[in-house]
Amino acid sequence: MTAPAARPLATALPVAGLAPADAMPPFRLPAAHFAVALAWLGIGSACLVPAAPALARGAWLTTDAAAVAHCFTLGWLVTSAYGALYQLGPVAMAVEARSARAGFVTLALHAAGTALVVLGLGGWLPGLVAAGWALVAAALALWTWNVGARLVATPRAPRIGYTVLAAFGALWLGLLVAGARLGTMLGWWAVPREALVAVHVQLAAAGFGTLLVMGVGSRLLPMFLLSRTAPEWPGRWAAPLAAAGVLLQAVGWLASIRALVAGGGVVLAVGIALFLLQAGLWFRHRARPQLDPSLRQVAAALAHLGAALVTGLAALATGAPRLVAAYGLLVIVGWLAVLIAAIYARIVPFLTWMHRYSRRVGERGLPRVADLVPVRWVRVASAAWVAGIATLAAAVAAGAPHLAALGAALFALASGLSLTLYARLATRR
Amino acid sequence: MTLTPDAVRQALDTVQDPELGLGLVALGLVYDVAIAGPDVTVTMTFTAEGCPLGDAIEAGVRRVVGALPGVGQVRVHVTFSPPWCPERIDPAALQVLRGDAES
Repeated sequence: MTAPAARPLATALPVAGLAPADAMPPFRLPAAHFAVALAWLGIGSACLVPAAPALARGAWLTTDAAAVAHCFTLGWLVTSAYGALYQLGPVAMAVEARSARAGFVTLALHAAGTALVVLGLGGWLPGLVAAGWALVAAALALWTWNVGARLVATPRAPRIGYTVLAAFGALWLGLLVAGARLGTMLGWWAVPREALVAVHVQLAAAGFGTLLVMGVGSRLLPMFLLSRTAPEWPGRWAAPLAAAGVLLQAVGWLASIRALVAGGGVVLAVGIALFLLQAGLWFRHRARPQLDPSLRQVAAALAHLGAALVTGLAALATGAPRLVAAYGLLVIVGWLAVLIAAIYARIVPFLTWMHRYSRRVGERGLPRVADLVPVRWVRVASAAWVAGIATLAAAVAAGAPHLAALGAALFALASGLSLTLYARLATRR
Repeated sequence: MTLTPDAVRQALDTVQDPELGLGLVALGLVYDVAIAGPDVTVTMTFTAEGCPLGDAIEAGVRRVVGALPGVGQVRVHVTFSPPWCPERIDPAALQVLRGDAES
């Protein structure tokens, strides 16, 4: 009656319980972060339209541009990062938050702080910006206690952990530099404005945002692409070089040492080029030749990073304000905002599927994750994002204000389509 | 009816990865099926460590194998040694995956 027991694989070692259910935060914690972040994507995209023409005139140090940039950085990027790491930490690095309640408090502080910063910058009200800065700093301090400090000794995947840690180190430095800039706004001290803003932007976008993607992406991209056989050597060098480059540039700008700014820029560029090479290897070694819309959008975001690399080097060499503005747009909106949107296009349907069907795995007739999403809708949004960024960046670099507004409108259309899609996914039964 | 590893594997292949739309056996995630009396031990892996669907898939495995006639206890051993790689996908399933454009 009974078949003989087949011999198990000699190397098989049971390791069940890698991410036990009690290590995961309640689902509503990352979900609340994602909802807040999506709201910021909508606000930032809508505000980009009136702000774009000024960028095309080379005016990148305006209050409107600063307000819009913070919708994308603090609102869309940092909020998404907090939420994603509560979910990813236990599974990717075996690091879980100390307290879910502290996670909700962090979100409330960060959301309120971001709103005050954006309103204060948009209306040029330094007191409001200062209050917002304090709340954002309090949120970051709480997050550092709750999750960040635990990354110091990551039991699994230390390279990812240290890269994420370096990213948050850059965020801390960026916040301190913002504090120094705030002091000049309040008349407490005088520090050269352009140097501080340049350091702040690089720490936020190239330091925090890009390092975070280098860390977390080294886990997610091969998983999404089924490309674990790809060589990993470029990725090992990318993050350390990028981090070193950002730091050298920061010191160079603050100490007015031109050679350090240029040298740091080159080191950063090499780090980013290696990351692009690594990403190319993941794509080339994928098991699935056809890319789904979200992975195509990841590829588009990587192309925007490549364009940002070239534009950034040109801006560094010439100092032309319009090239600086185009670089900022490409790295913050084209690279980071579009990449995060691509990840959302992948994880929101997946989380929806998990929420609805995970208890029924093994039953016949269950839909696939892809069946939940109207592919044409995602394709149109993705195309509008790419066309919007290409138009916007080209218009800003060439000094064409009307075209810049058109590019921003296309970007806003893409964001609107995505937000509507997610709202439908969340509410449809 | 005799309980065989093939019958268990057939049942396991009805548990599908919701992203790839392929069964666990076709994906090469099932490393071993051991039958001892009425008890079944499935040694399997996931496409990545810390797969967010891990618990749900384990529960699905218990459910479909437990529903087979004559099965007593179902044990699931999850292992990442050796780790899963795309080369483990059944060639026929890989063809389906390669042609799976937008779905």
